[in-house]
Amino acid sequence: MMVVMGNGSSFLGRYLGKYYFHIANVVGVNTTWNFFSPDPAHIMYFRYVIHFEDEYGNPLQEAKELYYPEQKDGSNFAMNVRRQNYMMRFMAIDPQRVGNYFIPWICKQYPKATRVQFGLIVHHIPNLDKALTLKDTPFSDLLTNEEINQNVYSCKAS
Amino acid sequence: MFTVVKHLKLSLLNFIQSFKRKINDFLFSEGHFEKLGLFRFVLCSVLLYIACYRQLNVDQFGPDSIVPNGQALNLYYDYYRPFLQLFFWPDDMAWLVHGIYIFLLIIATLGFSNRILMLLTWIIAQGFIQRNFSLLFGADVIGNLFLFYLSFTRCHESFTLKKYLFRNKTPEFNSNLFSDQLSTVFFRLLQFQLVTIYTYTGFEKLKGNSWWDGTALWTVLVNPQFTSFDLLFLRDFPLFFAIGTFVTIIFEIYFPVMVIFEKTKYFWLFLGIVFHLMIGLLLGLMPFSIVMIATYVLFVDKKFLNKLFASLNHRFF
Repeated sequence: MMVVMGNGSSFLGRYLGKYYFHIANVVGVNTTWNFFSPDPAHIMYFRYVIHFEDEYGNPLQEAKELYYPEQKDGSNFAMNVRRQNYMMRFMAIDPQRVGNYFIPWICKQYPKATRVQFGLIVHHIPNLDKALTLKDTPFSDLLTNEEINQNVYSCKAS
Repeated sequence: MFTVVKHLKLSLLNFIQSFKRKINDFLFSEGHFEKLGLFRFVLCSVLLYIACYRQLNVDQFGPDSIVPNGQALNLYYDYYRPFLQLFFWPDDMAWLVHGIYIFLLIIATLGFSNRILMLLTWIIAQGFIQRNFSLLFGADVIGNLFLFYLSFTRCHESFTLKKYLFRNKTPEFNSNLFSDQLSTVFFRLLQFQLVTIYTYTGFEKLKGNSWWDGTALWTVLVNPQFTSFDLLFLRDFPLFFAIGTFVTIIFEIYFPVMVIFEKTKYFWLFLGIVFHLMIGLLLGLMPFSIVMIATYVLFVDKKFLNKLFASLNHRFF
């Protein structure tokens, strides 16, 4: 069971798994053992702007721009803070999770919020060849930045 | 013709008998109580440390969690969703249940637990994993899986406070006792699980371009979200990344083969200790590293272990 479940989504896993994947899922054997793989992740965090508006869309108070995790650069390495980092990555993998879990959670924390503008900021780490060629360039300038999965979510829907 | 068939039949019977004997020896020749005891002590200590820190995140398992109680299992993809919900407590009791879990881990670390209590410890831990699957460390998943296997073994016979205080003798292994048989079977399952994890971890890395390219370590070590040190200076030694990347893959993929053979076993385990200590120090994943290193005790010989802990011998062991 543990051999097949290491690659549970393979044909063998799909074929044999039906006999025992219920129990394997409870025990935790049905896990893909992918540490830093297939490729290590780049620097990423959530940027979100909370809007507070009246029924006509006029701002009631100044919008708040926030980040998750708060220490977007990962400077706080305490174990409880790192868990937030892991949670952010887990949510970021699937944009649906952002809409289903992250946004309602933010809306719950700000009951007067009407909508949340969301984006996943990714700082792509340059490949080693580029970093070697442009050795004298500051590392921060070598990072290529983009904001993906941008969306505006209504708090009323959540 | 008849003689040949008879001879073949006899050879086959001998082969089956010898195979059965070998399996029997493999599973039931030794109790491994010392190894299991030491592994229990280290694993439960690390899980205790992680749990104490997790108490600071306990709000993420309660009513204010990012994952509402009723949707916790929806967070899993269909294929990975457990059919049994193990978080049986109400959300507003999460802090209390987590406190009980910490207490159970203290008992288990000191060696005062037993199979039923260990299984209860595992159920609670797995319940917390299920309650908020997004908040996990690798050490949570692996550590808890090992705790599951360990709860079927006789891991409380050695390396316990009781043994240290009262100098109890470690019981002899009785291969006719079901309890002892169950213990050694799960001891082997623990070993098997570890080598499976290593192999798949290596295979998964082969799917990534940067691992194949020999530069994955670069991406990991200069990502400030992964490491607390400024390791940019390492780009002056680019071979470090290439060699480190390939050694990581080779170490993981060949682990099962290398630990089978006596000649290569200790070298590979030593390599593993260095590998995990590097991960622990550079990536701040020391609890995970200690759990992985602790599993190596399951592969060393009893004599080697006794020699290593000669000063503690007959007290903890």
